[in-house]
Amino acid sequence: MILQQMIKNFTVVIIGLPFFSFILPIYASDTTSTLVKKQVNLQSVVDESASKEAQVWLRRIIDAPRKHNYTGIFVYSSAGHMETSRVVHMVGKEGEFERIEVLDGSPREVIRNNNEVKRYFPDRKTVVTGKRGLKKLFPALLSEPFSNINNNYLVKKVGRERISNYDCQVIILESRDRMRYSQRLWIDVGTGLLLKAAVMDRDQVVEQYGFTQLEIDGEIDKELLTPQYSKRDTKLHITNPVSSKVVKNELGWQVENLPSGFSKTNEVSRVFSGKSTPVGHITLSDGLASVSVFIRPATQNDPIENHEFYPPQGAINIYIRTVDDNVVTTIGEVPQATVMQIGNSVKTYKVKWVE
Amino acid sequence: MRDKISALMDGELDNKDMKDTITQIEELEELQNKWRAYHLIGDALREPVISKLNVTSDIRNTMGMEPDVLTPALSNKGNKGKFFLFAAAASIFVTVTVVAWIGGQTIEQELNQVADKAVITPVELKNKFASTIENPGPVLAKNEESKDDKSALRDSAPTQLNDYMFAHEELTSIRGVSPYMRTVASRPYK
Repeated sequence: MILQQMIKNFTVVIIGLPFFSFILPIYASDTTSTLVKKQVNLQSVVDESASKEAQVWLRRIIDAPRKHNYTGIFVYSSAGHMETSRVVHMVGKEGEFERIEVLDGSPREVIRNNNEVKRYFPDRKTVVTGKRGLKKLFPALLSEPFSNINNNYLVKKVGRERISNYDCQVIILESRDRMRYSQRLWIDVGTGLLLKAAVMDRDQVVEQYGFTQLEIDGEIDKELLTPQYSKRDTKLHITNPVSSKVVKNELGWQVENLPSGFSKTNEVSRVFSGKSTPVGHITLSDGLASVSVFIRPATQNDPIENHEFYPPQGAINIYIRTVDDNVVTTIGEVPQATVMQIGNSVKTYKVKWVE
Repeated sequence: MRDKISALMDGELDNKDMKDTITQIEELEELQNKWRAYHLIGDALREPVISKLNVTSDIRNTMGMEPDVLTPALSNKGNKGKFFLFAAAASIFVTVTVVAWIGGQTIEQELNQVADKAVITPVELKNKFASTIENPGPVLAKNEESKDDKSALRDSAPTQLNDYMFAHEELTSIRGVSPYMRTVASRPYK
């Protein structure tokens, strides 16, 4: 009897083993998948929360200069090139006023009066006027900068560091691919002012600036905001390089093969100082980095076929290509591979220059 | 029309466009509402943003939506006797031990795969850019160009590059005081 029962049990074990061996791994696999999914979902929640928090810090960077006076010295460096500048920034009932004086090399000065920006180049006897970039955030701000930043950057809120005697929160925007640079930002905890920033290509610093001396919310003597060079040289030539006309898909050009995460943000026809022919200007963005594509008809001086990189200016890379009797210039604070991909995929579907 | 209204607010329209846009805003109540809304939104955006993040509730909600069953549901099909249960338990024990070992390997592999997806390996990057790296068409074309062609481009392009740099500068999103530094750097294109 006992022997029979043992044989029966042995049979059950022999039959049951393959059965459980077949069923349980499936279940175990499902359980494993569930655990992995939970891990991924948990990670995405953490990423999303970090992104939201980072966006608050990014907003603070934009808002801070509208609320705080500051004066200081900062150093800008890229590719072994370094320059020291003095900045005076004042906020009042009439808006924002700023003066930046480059202290190294040839004298240069930037004067900002709310949205109007003047750059003085006394060596070249030139004053270039233009508009302030940050104003451009509205209304594009509603749908664009920072809202989709998590798609293209891994947002990390890391520790705190001291910059120019101010306690700063460090935020890292780590590129998710090689089509864009990463950014490391040091933000003053008290005011939200950006006190140091570095553009990174993996571990390499492409461009960096940071304050070495800073005073926030002190009294500002208005005399410090007065341009120095216009007084000394009244023969400065004033140019306004940009007058623009908004067009909507009227340039007749499009970027067909956009790098992952980039989308078109604007399309304008610009007339630059001293030029009669309008230049098409298509702008692209991934929510943080921006790229401009300029298109103008080729002249007799332009080669028939050309593809060429220009030396980078800090984090800005420049790629020029001649196509269909037009010169396409792609400029952006992105790696060379990105400006080249964009520049190479600019196509014309109809040539219609807006008068 | 939204772009036109935006450009009008930024003072970027030429005289003709400005008049046309203002006329249309005057005529259409919808555009007037849009105009007011844009200003209201702009004012609101310039106010300080205070956001309290509640990570705990987000995690709790997400976890709550996931199934919590982590063990197999055993069916009760009647009593087959102590020996059968013993044999079945032994079978399950052996199988579960094996499966646990296999499952452990699987979890490790899947987590590694997740980690691999989060961080692109150099090999993946190389493959991704293989066409660019291995077939640098523009560079080949550049090498084939005549010297005269290249010098001609250099003669005509640099001054315009400075204009382009100024125009592009408007797009810079978060650079604090630095957006001007690139265009006033002591290395303008000459």
